[in-house]
Amino acid sequence: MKVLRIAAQVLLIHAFFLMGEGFVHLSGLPIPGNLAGLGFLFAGLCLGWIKISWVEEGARWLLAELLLFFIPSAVGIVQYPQVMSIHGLPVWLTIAVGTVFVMACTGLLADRLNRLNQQNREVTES
Amino acid sequence: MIGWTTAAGLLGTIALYAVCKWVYRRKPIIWLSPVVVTPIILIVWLKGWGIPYAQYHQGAKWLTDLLQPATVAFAVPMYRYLPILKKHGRVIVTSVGVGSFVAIISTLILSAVVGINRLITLSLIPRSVTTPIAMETAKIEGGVPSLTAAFVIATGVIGYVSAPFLIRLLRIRNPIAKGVMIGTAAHGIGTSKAFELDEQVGTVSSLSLIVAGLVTVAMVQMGKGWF
Repeated sequence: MKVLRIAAQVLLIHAFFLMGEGFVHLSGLPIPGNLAGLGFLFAGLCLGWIKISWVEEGARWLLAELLLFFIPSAVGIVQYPQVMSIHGLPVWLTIAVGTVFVMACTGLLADRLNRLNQQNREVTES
Repeated sequence: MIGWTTAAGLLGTIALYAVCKWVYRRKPIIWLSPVVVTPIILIVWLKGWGIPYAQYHQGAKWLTDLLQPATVAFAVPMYRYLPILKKHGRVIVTSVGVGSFVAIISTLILSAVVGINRLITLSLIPRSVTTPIAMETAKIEGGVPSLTAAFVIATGVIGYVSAPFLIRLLRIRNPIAKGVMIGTAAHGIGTSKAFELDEQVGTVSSLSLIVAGLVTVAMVQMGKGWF
């Protein structure tokens, strides 16, 4: 009964979302409820209150089908013809240039930091 | 009572997605990926039949609602990858943090340079992070979640296509650095490319995409007044 197990686990994960929503509502903290829920589930796993086997299959299914869940929102772009027509060109250009730029900066920085780390390790070990 | 078009919106989206996924498995080219093809076909369908988006979304919103538990589900890979995060934590968190900051600032600057209006600029800001978090972030700063969803896909596809080329051009050999750059800039879609490169790159990329999501929400929350 794999389907039922996945469904039950998704419900359990959803309970953590509701918990997150409730927490945000009560505390007035400026974070989305789903991230608070993520924090609770993560804490629960780390503290051993929640066994990974209780949520693993459900989580895997949710993340594997993540693309399906945001397709309806992406279709919502039909409501903004200014982005879909030729006038939207600067927007798509910004996305392309920006993405490549961010990747290059992040990659180069991580590469340098890694090298520094390794050098440090060698110095302390020698 | 659930109307005809409502049911068609929900079932049609799922069926179309299943077909696209099947095609993509046989021909794995990014332009044939379900993330790209499914929304395009649906847009053409809505436009062709003159169906208003609100009517379509009445049914399809059931799928959108699943984004909430999906975000919570990221806790599971985070817990699984905890040893990697502990071992390379400083490098990952620092690079992802700086990368996410660069993403926000470069979007603001580029948008100003090419003259993009405010509403669209606000929707562009969170486009580097995974959709469920990006859409929540868009709500926080006053962007349009629907636009953000489409921009997130475009960002992911560009990251997916350009990552191998950039890695060669910049001569990045370290698998941690490769994973960090892909996960920070191109979220889940880019991460699927990272897993094609190598298991470790994919794992670090998954971890980075979660960290980037958390960091971006925090930054947008702090900088809200300045946008």
